Amino acid sequence: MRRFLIVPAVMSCMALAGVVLGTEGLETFEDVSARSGVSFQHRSGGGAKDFLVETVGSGVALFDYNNDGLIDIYLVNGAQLIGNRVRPIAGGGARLYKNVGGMRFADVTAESHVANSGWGMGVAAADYDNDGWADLYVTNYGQNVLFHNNGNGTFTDVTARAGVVAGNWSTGASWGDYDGDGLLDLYVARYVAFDPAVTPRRGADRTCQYHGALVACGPRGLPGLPDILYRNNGDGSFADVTAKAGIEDPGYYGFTVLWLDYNRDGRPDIFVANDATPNFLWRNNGNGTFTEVGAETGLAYNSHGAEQSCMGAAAGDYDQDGLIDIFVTNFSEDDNTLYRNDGDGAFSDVTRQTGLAGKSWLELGWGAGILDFDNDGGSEIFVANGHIYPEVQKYRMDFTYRQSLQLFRWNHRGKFEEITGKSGKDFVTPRSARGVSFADLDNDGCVDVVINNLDAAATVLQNHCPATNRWIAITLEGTRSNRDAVGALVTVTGGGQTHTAELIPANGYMGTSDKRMWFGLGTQAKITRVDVTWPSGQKQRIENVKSNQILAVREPRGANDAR
Amino acid sequence: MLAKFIFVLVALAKANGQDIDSYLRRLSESLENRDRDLIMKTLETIPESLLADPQCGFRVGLLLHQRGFSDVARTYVQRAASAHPNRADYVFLLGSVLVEMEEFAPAALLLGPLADFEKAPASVDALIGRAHLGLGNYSKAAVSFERAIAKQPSDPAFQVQLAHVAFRSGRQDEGIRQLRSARERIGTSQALNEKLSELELNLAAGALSQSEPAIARMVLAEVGSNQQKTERFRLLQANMLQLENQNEEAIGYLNQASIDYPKSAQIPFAVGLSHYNLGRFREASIWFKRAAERGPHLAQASHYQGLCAAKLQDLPAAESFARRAVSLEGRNDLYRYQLGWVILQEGKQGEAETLLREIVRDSPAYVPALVELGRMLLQRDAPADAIPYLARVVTQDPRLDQPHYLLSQAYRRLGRIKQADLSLREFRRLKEFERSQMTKGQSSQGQVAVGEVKANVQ
Repeated sequence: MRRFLIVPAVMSCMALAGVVLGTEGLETFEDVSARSGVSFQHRSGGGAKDFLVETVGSGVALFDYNNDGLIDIYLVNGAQLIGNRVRPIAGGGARLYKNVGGMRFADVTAESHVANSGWGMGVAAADYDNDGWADLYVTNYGQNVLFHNNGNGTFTDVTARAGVVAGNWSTGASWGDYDGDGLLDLYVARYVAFDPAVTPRRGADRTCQYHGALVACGPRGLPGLPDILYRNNGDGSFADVTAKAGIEDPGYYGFTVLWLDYNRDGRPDIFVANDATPNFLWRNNGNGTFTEVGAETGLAYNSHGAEQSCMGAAAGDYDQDGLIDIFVTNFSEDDNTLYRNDGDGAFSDVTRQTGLAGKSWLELGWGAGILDFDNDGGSEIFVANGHIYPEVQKYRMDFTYRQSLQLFRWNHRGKFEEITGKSGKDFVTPRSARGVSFADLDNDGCVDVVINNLDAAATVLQNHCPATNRWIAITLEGTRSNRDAVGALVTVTGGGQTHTAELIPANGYMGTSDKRMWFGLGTQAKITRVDVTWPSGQKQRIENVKSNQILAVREPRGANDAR
Repeated sequence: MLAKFIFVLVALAKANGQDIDSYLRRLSESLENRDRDLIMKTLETIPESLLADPQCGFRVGLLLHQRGFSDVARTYVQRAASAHPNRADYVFLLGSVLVEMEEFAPAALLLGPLADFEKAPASVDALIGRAHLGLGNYSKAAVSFERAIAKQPSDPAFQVQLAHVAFRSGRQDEGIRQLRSARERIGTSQALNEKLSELELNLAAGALSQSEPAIARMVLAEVGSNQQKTERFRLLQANMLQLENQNEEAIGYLNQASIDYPKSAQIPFAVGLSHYNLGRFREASIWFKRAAERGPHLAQASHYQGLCAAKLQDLPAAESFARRAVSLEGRNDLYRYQLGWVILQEGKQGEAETLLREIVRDSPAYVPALVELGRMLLQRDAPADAIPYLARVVTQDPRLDQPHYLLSQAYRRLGRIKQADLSLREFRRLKEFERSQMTKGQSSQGQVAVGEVKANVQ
């Protein structure tokens, strides 16, 4: 394979030498939900799941809404259909939990005014107006809502003024600065033009059957909705530039959106995981327009040339070659797919080569992440699962409705090995997991997990990673770039290891993860340098950095400050 | 070993310059083994001087055709018919070969003049009828079968064929009428009644193989009561229920049938198939195991056990069952392909490549193996090697979308962007067509126009 960026062989060998391969598995995830104070209960229609809208669940945002250095939790909630109209469920609604330290959280929904009353789907947290406070965009089946963070613990619904309603059924949303003006723009994925009054009922045709069971219809056979790109005008309003930017979505069923600069041309591109239709890769042309290159780059389909039912998507450099790869989760009886970034503008489906084939046929995947959970310097792939049809249980199929999480560890020899069973008893508890986001909730250097489970209580998984392994977290503040530094590329070098990550907070399934960037270092205490390529294109290097710290890096205002 | 031994004998015979009968005997023995390699090698031993004689070529072709190797027979039969275009028996055999190979248009063209002969037997009319049926010329097919019935009214086969035409042309009542008329015509003859029932079962089986359970249901209802107790009838009935998505009913029905056929291997196999369709792979596996125990040579049971194991994410077990299926039916392309697929999933690239190449060598037109080999070579970063296999599939069946996609990837990696774009364009066209067909196939209730969607949400 031809690649633009090749990690020298010597470096690769050295990287292996510095890695502690935990052969015993992680054994580290503990469900601390009950004592955490996170009492959130997700609700999504009735138990029979007559419509698809009741099955897809909701996302979670992990962000620091009050800038106290502790990551807070925002959990999106569903609703119900009564007489074909969306109605809230008593005790439902989204919830904001303030992190009060020690893995304890307090419900501050009421005083913060962020209780989304619609049928919530996704959430994208980012400081869109560069005022230093993280705002929230919540997608709904219904009108979407933009909550502006007032900086005093409260939010204001500014949707109407901002002009980002979208309408009908939006799913994933994600912030990124496509035009390089230092303001975050917004891409909103949309799903089905859904109206329960005219949507066929279960079993109506072959798209409403699963292994002989009559199930909720769709998305195949139902009309799709085109995605929307909003440009940030910088005055609190947004312009719908979808057509102008060349985002011509024929109505594919969109779910999760990732902004990433896949071809390293300095311009953020957009990947959209689509359900039952080909995925999109919108290549940024650098002139305010995009070209769809999913099929050309190999991301639209799997290696069989088949479009999959992609739900979640995660980006990360799993093989430490300095290039950001993509992992998508799929339906049962199909593989989750890992696409390796070949560095020449194309991706290869390496699911089979990396040992991931046939490992998720009974599972139906949603949220996912490529992260280093044990700080050993290598990546793990985290997958949240849960079937959409309650009928799988009723008809005694071998698929279960509630399913275990899965974890796969990169063995540095070209394969992922499943370590689900070694990741703690709380890890394998069957759940109807949907949205998953990742953050270091207790600032101990281990990446924790929050899961929004369909029709169930949320799960807070505390990660007790090995203390022997070192780590560094980097929090970026843009000055010329967008303040959140979304799209920044960071390389951490030390002890013969090189780790690369791009800041992509919307990563997983319709949610937002901690925007601090986490790097596991193995036993290497010394970091020779940290290199940051800011979204503005400015490069910055910090040398001789201590490990086991959260390092704050501010973008230099001028070129002279770059070192 | 036996195959090799026979081959040596045949080679020796060639040296001795024996006449065509001895070659035919050896060919017949090779055909017993169903080993295509051996058959081809045996054919190579027949001296060209013998084959140049049309009569010899005809006999070789007839033997091959009768034993199910019509594609191999074609060369010999064609040569004989070309040498003597006025020999009705040669032309008839070539027509049979073409019909068998589903080349209906040339068959109809070739056989047409034969029907004009007054003394042409009913079988000629029936063969022409089959060709027209294959072409969807139902009225012409009906005329041919009616002519055959007129010539040989005692044979229910032609009336069953006429019923087939009626079913295929959507005239279900007429089909039923023909079957009942056939039964009336043959009267009380037990032998003919049994023959008719057998033909009806064949007709039902054909309908099921075409995924037309409604026709099968009608035909099976006409089958004589004595035949309704047979294992075959019960299996067809169960298969019909499976195609109608009534797998639970099929299981119940088969459980009853198993009382009458406690040693049957096919019945537990069919039960396993129903559980498999219902997504119960563990349970299905138990039934396939039972089938394999009762029918130690039932390769299909092992094949499905392997599929269940793969679904249950147990690749080593899937490999073991796939190997067993191959050991039972070594020439079955599907079983060999399945084994190749499993070992590829397990990451055993080298072994899988060897196997896939073997399948492609033995069955050059077997699409799944060609595609998988191309895909594997592409993944191994050998796009130039992948292209010939993928291009072969495209030539063979240009309507398949997957090879176009893989070809576009291969060309792109080789920097042949123009060809890559062309392949991708064709791939997209086929995908769009597929999508439009899928939408067309759904009930009107299953479609919702965007315009219909009202803003019923807040």
